[in-house]
Parts: sequence; C-alpha cells; structure tokens
Amino acid sequence: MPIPWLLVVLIVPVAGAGVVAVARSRRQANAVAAAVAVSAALAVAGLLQRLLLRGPQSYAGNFLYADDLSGLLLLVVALVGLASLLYSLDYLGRPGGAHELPLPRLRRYYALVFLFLFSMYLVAEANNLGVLWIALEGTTLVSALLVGYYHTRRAQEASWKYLILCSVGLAFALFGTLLLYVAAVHAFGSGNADLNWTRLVASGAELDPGVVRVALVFLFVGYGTKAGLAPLHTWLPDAHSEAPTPVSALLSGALLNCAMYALLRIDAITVRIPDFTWTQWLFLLLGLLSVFLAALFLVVQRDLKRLLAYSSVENMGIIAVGLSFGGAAGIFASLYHLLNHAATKSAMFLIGGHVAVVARTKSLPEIQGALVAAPGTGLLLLFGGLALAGVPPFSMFSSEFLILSAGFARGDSVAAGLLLLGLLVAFGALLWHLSRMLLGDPHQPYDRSARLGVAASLGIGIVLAVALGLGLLLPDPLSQLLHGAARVVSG
Amino acid sequence: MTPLPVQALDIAAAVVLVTAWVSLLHRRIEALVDTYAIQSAAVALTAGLVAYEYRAPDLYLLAGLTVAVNVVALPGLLRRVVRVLGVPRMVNMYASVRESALIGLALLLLSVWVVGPIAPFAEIPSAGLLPIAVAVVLIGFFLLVSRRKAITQVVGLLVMNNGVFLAGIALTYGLGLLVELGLAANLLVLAIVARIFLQRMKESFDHVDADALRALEG
Repeated sequence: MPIPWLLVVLIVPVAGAGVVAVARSRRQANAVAAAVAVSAALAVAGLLQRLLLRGPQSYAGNFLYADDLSGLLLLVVALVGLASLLYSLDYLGRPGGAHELPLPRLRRYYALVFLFLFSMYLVAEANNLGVLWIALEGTTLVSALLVGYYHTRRAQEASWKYLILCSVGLAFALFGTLLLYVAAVHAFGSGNADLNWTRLVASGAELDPGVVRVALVFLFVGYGTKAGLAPLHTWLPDAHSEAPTPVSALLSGALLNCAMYALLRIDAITVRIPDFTWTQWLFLLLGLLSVFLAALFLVVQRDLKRLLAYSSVENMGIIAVGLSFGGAAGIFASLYHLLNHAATKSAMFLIGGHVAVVARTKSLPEIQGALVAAPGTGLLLLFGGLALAGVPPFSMFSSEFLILSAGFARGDSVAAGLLLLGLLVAFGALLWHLSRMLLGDPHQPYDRSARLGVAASLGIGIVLAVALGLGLLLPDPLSQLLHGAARVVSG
Repeated sequence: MTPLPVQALDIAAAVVLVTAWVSLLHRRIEALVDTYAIQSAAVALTAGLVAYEYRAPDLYLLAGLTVAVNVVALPGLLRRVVRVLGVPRMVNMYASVRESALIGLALLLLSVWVVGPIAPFAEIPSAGLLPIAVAVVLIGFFLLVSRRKAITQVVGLLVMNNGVFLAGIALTYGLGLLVELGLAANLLVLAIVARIFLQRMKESFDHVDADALRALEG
C-alpha cells in the first residue's frame, strides 16, 4: 500500500505538538522541534515526488486534495518552517540564546508553532472551500497567540489588532464563500452542488457571473486582508514586527502566501467563466495600491523589522499584479516570485533578528556601520539585503523581470509601467537603508559576543541558498512544479 | 394564508435584525452580551424553522450547534470575563447612542437596496432573509469599529458571524456537517483566544480598553 503522504504531512506537526507538550527538559523540547522540522520537510518532499510522477493526489474521498498548486504552497511552508524552527533552536531554545525562554513557555511556543504549521498544511490540502476557510481562520487564531508571545505592551497591541482585523476580514471571506456556493447551487441544482474546489473548477463556466461578482468583492476584501494587500494591510507591519523573529519569518514567508493561495483557487474558478475579468481587475487594483503604499512607507521607515514587513506588502502587491496579467506566463512569473519572496523574506527576517541582537536595537537610524563593527553579521545583512532589493543574480530579480515582461508582452503597458515605477522606488529605498546600515560610523558598541549558533546559521543558510540559487538556475522538478501550478490556475 | 412556520420564520428573522440594532443602543456590557444571546437563539430558531419548512435536515444540526455554542457557551464565557476581569460597566463609544441608532438604520436600508435586486437569489424561497443577514453583518461591523472596549469588539465580531450564519441558513440550507462543526469550533477557539488576550491586557495595562492600544503607527 502506498504511503498516504497527504495524511502524513498533517499528522507530523500534530503529533509533534503532543510530544513536545510533555518534554521534560530544554534538550528534549529542542530535539522534538528539530525532529518535526526535518520530518515535516521530508514528508512534503515525499508528497511532491508523488505529485510530480503521478499527478494530483487525493485522500479520504477527495476530502484532502493536492495538485501542483497545493504542492507549491506545501513546499513554501515546509521550507520556511524548516528554517524558522532551526533558527528557534538557537534563538529561543538554547540556554544563553538571544531570547532564551523558560521551559514551560518554550514547550508552549513549539506546540503553537507546530499547530500553526499544521493549519497552513491543511490550507494547502483542503479541497472544500469551507474547510480552506476554517484552516485559514485557524492560522489566525494560533499565530495571534504567537505574535503576542512576548507579553510587552507593543506585542499585545499588535496581536489584538491582528486577531480582530483578520477575523473581521475572514468573516467577509466566509460570506463570499457562501455566495460562491449559492452560485454553484444555482448552476448545478441543490442536490449536486458542494463547495469542493475540484467540482467548482470543473464547471466554472456555468456559474452565474452576477453572483460571482458579489462573491468576489467579499472574498477579495477578506482574503486580501489576510494576504496583506492594501488598503487593509494595516495590521501587518505591527504583527510582523512585534512577533518573535522566527514567527515573523513564518508570517511573512509562509502565512501571507496561504491567503494568496486562497485567492489563486478562486481565480482558477473564475478564469473559466467566459468574458469574466473582475478577478483580474481586483488583483491589479489591490496589487498596484499595495506596491505604491508600501514603497512610500519603505522610504520613511525607521524600524528594521517594519521595513521588512512593508516590503512583504510590496511583494504581495507584485504577485497580485502578476496574477492580473494572467495567462500561463504571468501566473508562472507570479508563482515563481511567490517562492522567491518566501525564501528571501524569511532569510532576511532571520538575519534582521540577529542584527537587532548584535546592534542592540531595531531602530534603523541607530544601526550603522555593521560591516565594520560586526563583519560576519554585516556580510549576512549585505547578502540578504541585496537579495531582497532584487539585485541580479538573486532570484527576486529574475521573477520581477518575468512579471514585468509578461505585462508588457500582453500589452498591459500602463499597468506594467506603473509596476516598474513602484519597483524602482522600493528598490532605491531598500538600497538606501541597506547602505546606511552597513556603512557609516557605528553609534554604539556592537554586542560581538552574540553568536548565531550552528542551527540558526543552517536555517539562514538554507533559505539564503534558495534565494540565490533559484536566480542562477531553476532545477527541472521545480520548473515542472511551477509550470504545473500555473496551469492549474490558467486552465 | 401563509403557513404558520413561514410566519414564525419571519418573526425569528425580525428578532435577529432587531437585536442587532438594539445592541447598538446598550451602554452596559452585560446587557450587550444578553442581547447577543437572544440574537443567537433567534438564529438557531430560524435554522430550525427553515429546516422544517424547506426539508433541509442539515440545518437541524446547525440549529443545535448554534444553541450550544452561540447561545450557551460564548455568552457564558463573555460573562465570566466581565466578572473575573472586572470590565468597567460603561461601554465607551466613539459614536453616541443616537448616532449609532441612525447609522444602524442606514445600514439596513443600504443592504436592502444593494442585495435585494440580485436575480439568481429570487429562485431561493428563503432568499428574502438575505438583506437582513447582510444588515446584521454590517451592523456587527459598525459595532466593532465604533466601540472602544476590547470585549465589545469581540461581541461585534460575533454579531457579524451571526449575520453570516443567517445568510448561510437562508441561501444554502447548510454547508455540510464537517464545515459547520469546523465553524462552530472556530468560534469557540476565537472566544478562548480573545479571553487569553484580555487576561494578558488586564495584567499589563490594568484595563481592557482597546483605545489604549495605539503605540504602533507608521
């Protein structure tokens, strides 16, 4: 009997949460965390291999379902999860680590991270759009507790705002999902309709455009809020900057993509309705708005982690604009960018967390001369910063270039031109902040005794290598996965 | 003459709407929670009546879940939070009671005007409930954004959810066992998470005013 990878992927983190809850020492808790990080990644690898060889997988009567698009999200979550758990081992878990937690809080931290990973995997594997919604709300509930994990005033403010705003957004999304169901009942008759994505996408052409339009508005408001698309992104810079560093990496690198994935599933359904362009317009509008707002906030930013958070808003906007260009080329470029951004941003959050420890501050004007004061950390920051700004040969350059070319190739010159303008502003802002952090005279002595640790270095190394490597070459299986995922959406 | 269950259905839906509007008038948090409990009971009754009238057995389950979670568990949890944390009784407002009342009416008119004319809905016998459901969602949203107490924001969110549930009852006759169980479980967890936060806020600020939460900007 073949191994049911779909199920294994979900069981590993849940079992890990159960085991870590009874760990009797820090060493045991850390060992469980390392084991879960690695085995979850292996389980996803097993599933991906099966996907690429045999096509879409399903389990339990189509309740769990994974095609190439799910595979891409699973890959992203597993990759970022692996890096941030490895980083956690040193940052929170190791005695004498930068933010060492006492054992009971460490156990709870790991358990929550595992449940967070579980709910993200469920987002990727849910076939029923109702279950997808439940899993996404689940990610909000678990991650809100993680955002407020340091009980500081600012962290509590951020997590409360995050919990309430995203729950409100998701209430709208649930309403949109209901309306989509109504469209399905209208098209197929009440006995035959369900919320299964495979069913909706197979007969998308029969859905009533009038109802779908109303549904789309609610779905975009709802999932757009959670994906950090402007103008409902206001919770994001707070939550992503106040969370513990490894959680910030998970939020920006993995969770935003889960909400984007929900919109991609919706896009895949509506793209099959003849002459229906609302989805593309909504993507374009929210995307450009996000890119421009974020670019402006990048320029005036004074806090390192908020800088990274606004850059996430910008990149979600870039992905949305790429999706609005549509067609196999535009969607492929967007999905490629989604993967590159996930790797780059999680690397940069992890590096940024270490910079904040070494420089003893997150304040941008106070971090200066890192290259001189702490050369090792400074060099990491240089690499991560260039990768994030999208300098060639880093992967984000390639995917941004592909998105722009897809736009110009389809004749959307105005939209592509505006996107290019926004990209240039953001590029300049990031490089300017980066040069100030790296060069200049250090304001205060750096804490050169702070060590990154082996596990944390490995975590950063993995995602940074992906961020660079995917710009140099796209391995065949990965290219196959991305093209397959793009076909799932474009039809 | 209209059959009895349909009349009862109209009344139950009217109670859902009126309680949403009344929740904008309250100054005391306990009264707000009570109103929410009554509203949830009316939602459950609506579900039961639709289930009976339109032969949608799925909805009996939703009705039961609504009673267990929205009528009993959530208000109980909220009352305990109020008792244990000693939330001051006055509900602080950005908008006065009179303004809130008027805005509530405006939201009802808006939803009738926008949602009424959508054609495919006309085929669904209970679709007349949809404008009410949308109005309840919007009023809940307004309650959430216009009140300062963190706990009032939670109630606003729950009222929004009642509106979404009502829409689900009216339009879909149930979303399937699993989805409904998941929705109910989510609501419960949401309330528990909110409780944990209120506890923490109480510990570090000594009050639970969401208005105090404005250190993060820019």
